Amino acid sequence: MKNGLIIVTGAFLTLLFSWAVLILLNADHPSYGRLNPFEDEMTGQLNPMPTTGLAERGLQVYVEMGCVACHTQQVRRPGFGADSERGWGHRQTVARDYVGMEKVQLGNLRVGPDLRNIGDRAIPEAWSSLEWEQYRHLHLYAPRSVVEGSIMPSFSFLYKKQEVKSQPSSNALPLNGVEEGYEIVPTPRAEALVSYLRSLRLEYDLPEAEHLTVEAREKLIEAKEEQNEQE
Amino acid sequence: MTTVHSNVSTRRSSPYSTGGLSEADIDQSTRGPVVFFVGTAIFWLIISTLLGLLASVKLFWPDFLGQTAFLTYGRVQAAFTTTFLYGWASSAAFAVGLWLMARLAQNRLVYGTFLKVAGAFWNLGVAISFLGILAGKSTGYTALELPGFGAPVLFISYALIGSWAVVTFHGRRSRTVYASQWFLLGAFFWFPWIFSVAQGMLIWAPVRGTVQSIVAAWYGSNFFVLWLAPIALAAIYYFLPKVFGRPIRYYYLTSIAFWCYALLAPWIGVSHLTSGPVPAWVSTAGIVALAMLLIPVAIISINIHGTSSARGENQGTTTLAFIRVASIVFTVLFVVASMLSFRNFQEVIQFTYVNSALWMLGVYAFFSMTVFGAAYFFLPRVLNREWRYPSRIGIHFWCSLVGILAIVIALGIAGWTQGVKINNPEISFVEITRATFPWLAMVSLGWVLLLIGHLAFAWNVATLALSRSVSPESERILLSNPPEMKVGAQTT
Repeated sequence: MKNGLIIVTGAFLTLLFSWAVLILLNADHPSYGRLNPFEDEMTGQLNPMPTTGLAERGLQVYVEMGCVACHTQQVRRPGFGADSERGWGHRQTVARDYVGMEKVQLGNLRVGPDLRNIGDRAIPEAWSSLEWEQYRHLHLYAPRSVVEGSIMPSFSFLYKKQEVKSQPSSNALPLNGVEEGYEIVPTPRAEALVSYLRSLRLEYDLPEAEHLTVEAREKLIEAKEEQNEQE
Repeated sequence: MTTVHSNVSTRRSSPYSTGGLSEADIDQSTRGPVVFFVGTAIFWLIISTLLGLLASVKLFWPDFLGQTAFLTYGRVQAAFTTTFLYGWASSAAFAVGLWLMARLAQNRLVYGTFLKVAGAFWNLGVAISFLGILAGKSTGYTALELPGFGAPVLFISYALIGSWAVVTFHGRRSRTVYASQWFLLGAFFWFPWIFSVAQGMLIWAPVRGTVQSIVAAWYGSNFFVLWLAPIALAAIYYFLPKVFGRPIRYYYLTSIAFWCYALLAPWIGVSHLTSGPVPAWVSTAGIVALAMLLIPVAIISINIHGTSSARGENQGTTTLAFIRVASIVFTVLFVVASMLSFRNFQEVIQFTYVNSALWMLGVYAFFSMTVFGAAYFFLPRVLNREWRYPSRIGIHFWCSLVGILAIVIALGIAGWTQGVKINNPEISFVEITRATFPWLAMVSLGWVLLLIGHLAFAWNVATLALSRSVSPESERILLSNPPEMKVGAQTT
């Protein structure tokens, strides 16, 4: 090859090919890049609900703290890994589950559990006296006080220590060992983060994900077993 | 064939092709910008090594330096990636790329001051991105964490640096265009392409939903396969014939390899989106492309291993030691990556440290090792001085080699353990974490070795740049041209 122009043109075309097919085509596809939330005809409810308000600000906190370095937000299909057995979601996540998010934080490393459905997950029984939000705050403030041996960093800098006024604040963390007359309360950023985590829920069903649920897989396995027995 | 090889090393003996310019003249013309880029690259290498070490320690000691927001794990990790990819790797790619471009075009690198100004802006862009990430301005996309305000600075300075490379190529005095030049042209052209696409479609006018994830995967992988890897391949295709004094073996296959690589490599990034919330054909296309990529990888491997299997006079040189490691890693990396992209493996390793191991293998054991080897070759020639402490080069080589092996092996084992245990719902996350601790500690030890190696590298370059005189004997040994190629003797 002697001609620089051929090399540059060729390099342009090869990259253009992958960009056009993988990205442009997908970004403009009516049933993928241009998807909208699904409207439940019975209730008029939009699924998924767009992330708005406090939760949207929480997403910003999630991004700036780099939570994505250790947490994924994608549930794999039942039977591929143990995502549903771990209680991370009853079905695989599909493209529509993410259309309301300004930034999609799928992630690619699970140092900690998947978070796509954390808002719908119950807190451990030992802490059932706490509200869901209270438990999450406690977990963010001092991870090892609720999960012994956890590797999650403490986000104590999202909380502030303040003097107790006439009576303890309603959002004060249920902590032992705080200095007498003081309490630990979440900053607005911590409130936003927990509100965002609460918004990560997969409790609704989507028509295109019906065959990707735990129930669908169980039915499939049953059908196969029956077939085997008949043979 | 003969003409193709002649521009690699015989031009000095052929006054018609050099237009009267000697390699020494060309090297001198690259001095300012090349030394500048190497210097700043080493600065960022040390910073990113410290960040990488810190991040690795935090994985088993979460409270270590953890009481402030700006040193929380997520930010340190993002700052590490950014300083490594944009501060170290890209600056090093500029140094190697510009020097190679000038040598292969047999053309002086003109107006070096402009390049240094552009380089200063590049470093400014990296610096504000680095501080921005620590202050919480990360974009949250892997390999593109640099904040929106850092990117334009990088882009503008790149436009100048990249066009310099193209102008140097355009003014070439050689009639043929050698394989290294294809890869260089490709890299200098592909980088602004992928960078502007990623910026445009993720930051300025974000696409919706998980299309973002496709763009991010496409960019993150292309940053390596279309920007760093071609620069390293260009260097390998240049140095092997030089060091061994023989042409690339089966060179006539290289153009096929180049075009197959250019066609398939941009597709492989999406292969790890298996079972993700994207259309199923996307990850399938990625897996198929990665498997097919083994064709150009095989040709390139035959080229480089076939050439370096011979016994040459310069077997013991530092450059060769680094490049031998990088060549082996190149082959291993793509073979392993394509094997692991199959669904049975993905079920286990998809979200584990195994991916981190592959990443380190690519950007460090392949790309960075090549750059180290190249730097040990061109710096004495560009500066017209000699390495003063050869033993320190040994420290650098062995620390880098043992360090990266420790990191890759430990991350691989930690990742596999992690993946198997995550797929067993009976095992709690705390148990999984505990099982990976010993391996993660080994990763940190690896980082300590890399740090020692990089400090030795920095010290070597600093003493070289600051030393004044060249001893006549050393000049004879180190600055003399490598043996001429036996043109035409080894083309089959």
